[in-house]
Amino acid sequence: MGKYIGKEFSRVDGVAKVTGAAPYAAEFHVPGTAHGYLVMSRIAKGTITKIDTAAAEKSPGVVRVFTHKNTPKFAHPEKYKSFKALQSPEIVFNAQPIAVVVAETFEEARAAANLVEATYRREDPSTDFFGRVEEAEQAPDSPFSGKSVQTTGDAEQAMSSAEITFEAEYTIPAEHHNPMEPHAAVAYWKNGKLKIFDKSQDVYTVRSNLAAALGVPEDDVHVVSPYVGGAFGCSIRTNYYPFLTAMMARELKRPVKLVYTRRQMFTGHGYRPFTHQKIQLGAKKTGELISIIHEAANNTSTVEKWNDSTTRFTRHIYACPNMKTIQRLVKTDLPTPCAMRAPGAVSGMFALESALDELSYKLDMDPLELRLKNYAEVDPANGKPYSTKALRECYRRGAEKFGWDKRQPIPRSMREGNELIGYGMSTGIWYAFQQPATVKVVLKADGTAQLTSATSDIGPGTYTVMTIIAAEYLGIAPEKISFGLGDTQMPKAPVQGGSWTTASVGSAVHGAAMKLKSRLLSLAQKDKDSPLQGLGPDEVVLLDGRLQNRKQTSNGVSIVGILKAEGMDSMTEVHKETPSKIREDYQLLAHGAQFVEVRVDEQLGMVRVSRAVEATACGKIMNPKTSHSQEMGGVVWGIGMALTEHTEVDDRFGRIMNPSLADYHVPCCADVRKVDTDFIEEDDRVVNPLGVKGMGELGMVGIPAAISNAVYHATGKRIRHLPMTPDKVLKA
Amino acid sequence: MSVKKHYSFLVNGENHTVESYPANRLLDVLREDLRLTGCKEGCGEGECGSCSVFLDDVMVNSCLVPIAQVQGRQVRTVEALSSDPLGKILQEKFLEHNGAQCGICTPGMLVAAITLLRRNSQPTLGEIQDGLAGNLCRCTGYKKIFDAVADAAQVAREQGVLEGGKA
Amino acid sequence: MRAYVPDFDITVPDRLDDALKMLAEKPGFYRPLAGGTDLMVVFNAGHQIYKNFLSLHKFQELHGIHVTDEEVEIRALATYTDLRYHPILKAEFPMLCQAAAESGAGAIQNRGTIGGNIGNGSPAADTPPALAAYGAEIDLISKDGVRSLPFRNFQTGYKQMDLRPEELIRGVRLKRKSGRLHSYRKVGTRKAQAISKVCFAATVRLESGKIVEAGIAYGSVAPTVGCCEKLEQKLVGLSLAEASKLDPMEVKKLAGESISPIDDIRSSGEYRLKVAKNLAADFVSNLENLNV
Repeated sequence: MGKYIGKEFSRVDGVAKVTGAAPYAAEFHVPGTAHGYLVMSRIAKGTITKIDTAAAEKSPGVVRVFTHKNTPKFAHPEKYKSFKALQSPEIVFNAQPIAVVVAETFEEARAAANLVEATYRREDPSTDFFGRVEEAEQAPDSPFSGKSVQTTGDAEQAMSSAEITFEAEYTIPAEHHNPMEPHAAVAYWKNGKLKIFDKSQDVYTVRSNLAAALGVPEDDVHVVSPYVGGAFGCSIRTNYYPFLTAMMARELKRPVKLVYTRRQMFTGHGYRPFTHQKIQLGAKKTGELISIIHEAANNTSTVEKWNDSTTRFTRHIYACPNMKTIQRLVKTDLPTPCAMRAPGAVSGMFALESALDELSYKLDMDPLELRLKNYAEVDPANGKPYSTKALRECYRRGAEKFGWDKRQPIPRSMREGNELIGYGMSTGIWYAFQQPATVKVVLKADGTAQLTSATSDIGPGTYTVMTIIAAEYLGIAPEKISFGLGDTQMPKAPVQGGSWTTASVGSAVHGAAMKLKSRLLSLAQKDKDSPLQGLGPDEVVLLDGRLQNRKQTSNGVSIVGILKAEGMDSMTEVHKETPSKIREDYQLLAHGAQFVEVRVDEQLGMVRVSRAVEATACGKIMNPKTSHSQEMGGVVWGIGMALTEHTEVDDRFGRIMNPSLADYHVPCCADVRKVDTDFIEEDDRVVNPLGVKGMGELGMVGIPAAISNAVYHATGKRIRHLPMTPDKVLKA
Repeated sequence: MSVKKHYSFLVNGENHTVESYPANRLLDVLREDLRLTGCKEGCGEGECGSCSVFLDDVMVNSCLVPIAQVQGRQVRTVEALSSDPLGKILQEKFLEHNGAQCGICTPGMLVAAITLLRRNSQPTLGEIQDGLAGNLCRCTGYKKIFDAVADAAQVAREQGVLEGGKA
Repeated sequence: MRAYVPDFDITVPDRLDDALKMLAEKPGFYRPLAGGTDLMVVFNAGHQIYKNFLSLHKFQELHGIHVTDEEVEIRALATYTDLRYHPILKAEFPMLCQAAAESGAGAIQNRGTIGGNIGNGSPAADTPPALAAYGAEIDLISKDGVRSLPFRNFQTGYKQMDLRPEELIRGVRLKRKSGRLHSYRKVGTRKAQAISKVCFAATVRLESGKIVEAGIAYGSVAPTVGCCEKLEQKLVGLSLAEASKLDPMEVKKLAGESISPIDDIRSSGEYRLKVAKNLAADFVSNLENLNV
């Protein structure tokens, strides 16, 4: 633990949030703003043959009605081929925008939107993914998970010779992120330059995409997104609305605001795709896995091929000599899916970890013992050592805290009153990614420091952790540090996704501080009488506002003093940190173990997660206060995925039937009982200078499988199709 | 059809008169006319609780209140909670326990927590869950919010801001 | 898509008499507006077909819960919060308190009214099964006076009720009698904030060890509140011991006859029927364990 790192810190953006003062995208007030309102298609597939906007245009307050007929064409940069609205009469999903009405007030825009009439040449949509899995085509390779077919050894051959085999199919429906803040943008142009307030996890990509689509230099696009009200992946890609908002503001020569309704959020961005998986396991009678074959298919749209990387971790977790994974896609007349918390990982591990549980019963072996028996000491796919892997300790500590030893092996053997009780466990896994990131530090002669980097803080506590890291390595108290983010006038940072922000941006903060330390040392050593004479940068440390000898801390000089002696008001460092080459020699992963108790009401089929223990190993913990919240939130996301979350599509019309928080059930607070999160800290010198790994995704990865396994243990019923709603539990 | 009318009411202790259609939502009047953006719109149908405010000291979803029913009444929003001793304690405890993450549900959670603690100054976990049942949060997993409310209750009792016991 | 605000008008009379006159003069023109927890949702969703609303919130005559020796009268604007914490209701009609406690959450309970819950006519409403089980009477008021009828007769079909255009719901009345046992269960997807998949309200009243009255009603499993009259009749005259020994299969059959659950977004008809029957069987077989 450092002076600041590893200690409990309250969030620096907290006061703004508990007083309602923090401004989100829709809340930036620009005088003269006109309001847009989206009109959505009522069919899923076909062509608009006629769109009548006359009545809407005559409606009070209406400024203009945009349709595919009068919307300028966006340039399509090759790297970004996502769906763009109002570019053609073609309809590729239900509730696709077919017009935007812009009016003086929101009410006027909405009223006129009701008056836009479209006629269509309608085609039958195809959205029944599960009915079409047989048609799946091979997925394109993924930049993160590699080739869509991957093999180790000869999985088919080994499977055919296995003493024990197991095979099952698992399904997961589409799910929507449903962050509490609806997406919004406010855009205006001044002197040919665009400024846009947007809800985004990635302001730089919004900038480059808008610049390319609108045909202006990137430097002329300024994207601002200081506060994001939750995102979980749905603001990673540049959704269609900022393109529209910027376009409309340019056409109308005035500021325009566009805000999604909750209903529009169900087709206004992507979603976790429908997923079908088949797992085959081959094992010895003693439990050693000898073959794993994991076939997955997810749905995509007709305009893009979204590979959800469902099988991404299957070959990296158990010591199995023969493995094969295949990822396939089925085109559907639905919007393109996108990353949703722990994309691919939580889906793939639901199937793999459920199957392993099923195998354990077949082997008459404790599920935890089966996992330990197949514990991988080196990466089974490539033989690389893990940089660190404290999964064994996660299993041990999690089991102990949970009381796993009290588990009765036979299903349906634990009961209290009307409730059947079941225990289930699972394994979680995620990467230790790092991306290039740049940070600017201005060290001021008044003893403060200002840092900026165009990352995002969608809620995990990025403002706070960057402040802590800066305080630690600049030797300045946190309250004298400000960290700014979410603005393309700041240095470039990667998208906030993949659980890599602290590793990437935090390492850049560290790197900048190291450079500043060296520069301060050089300046200090201009003074021949300096107590730091003869010391190298590694022998000094910035602490308590001083640059001092690491070993003899009384020997030092104040930072302010160094700057003042040079007549400097401030010292600026812009530092880009890139991942170290040494990472390539290792397998870099974060792990976790989940233990869950469920109680199942047999009369009603209701499942309640009464207890959950999650032990995770994701390197060093910078701020326990916010880190526990990440895992806690992940557990509850897992509960939602396991029990309630389900985007339901009426395949006759290709229409989402439950686009509201009343009908799409995210967990409410009464669904959350006892949840215990624990960290097994790892001292990882490989992953990055800070020794941190990803944690935001990790927290949910094993939870749905653990719950499903517990439901089986409670009831003797194996439910392979999420969510495990009461009707399925009662029927199974 | 209706015509705009003048509606006068108190917001956070200040008199306001707005010109509005009678069916306009209190939420829109607060956010758009008065630019009090602390209350949020998460769903527009009373499911998420992000728009919760006090109307005559009673918690309501401001997305479900037409302005015609607010004439002559008092509204209090998150922006004024710091001046309420219980509100201030809750704000501090939400900070201390990391009860706020992305921040969208937070204003509504605070309003619900005040409502709960006024009725019941020593809530059990189940009673806290019941009191916050109308407020959805997608970030925290709720636990830190429960902790914040329970801790605030204790501090409020110790400081005499709340009397012990249940109503 | 939300509705266009200027299309809608809300009139706020100061006095109930004025409102009743307005309703009589233009029958069907006004839609009464109480707490808005349903009407505003429909309005926000853009599906609101009514354009002219009459806000009732100023009428003191429609507020309050009034208790006499014989009965409890709940006026139409009593909120779920009023019901939930009312000491007499808690003691004597706890199913109403429970239904109120499970109708939405705090902010909804503070605004939603029993009159609105009834007048809205939703088959998924949570208080009507309890009212039906308790044998409540409903009072309807117009400028010509008050008309009363059994609550069970009030709903006539899906969102249809015996309410004339010039009438308002004044309130409901419940007879105070000792010896009641109660069981209220609501089944939803989440633990709170969920619209019912099935809602079950059942009560029996004992005199000299025998069941003399039984009220068993479902929500969410039929176009109106589903009252299990055959099962009710079966129970009358039995002791608790005798009742609890009834064949669960027969209880389920009788319970199932009064309901016709459908598939919808919240659940399947098959699940609802199964659970509805399970709840009835569980209630009957556990009668001896219920506290008076």
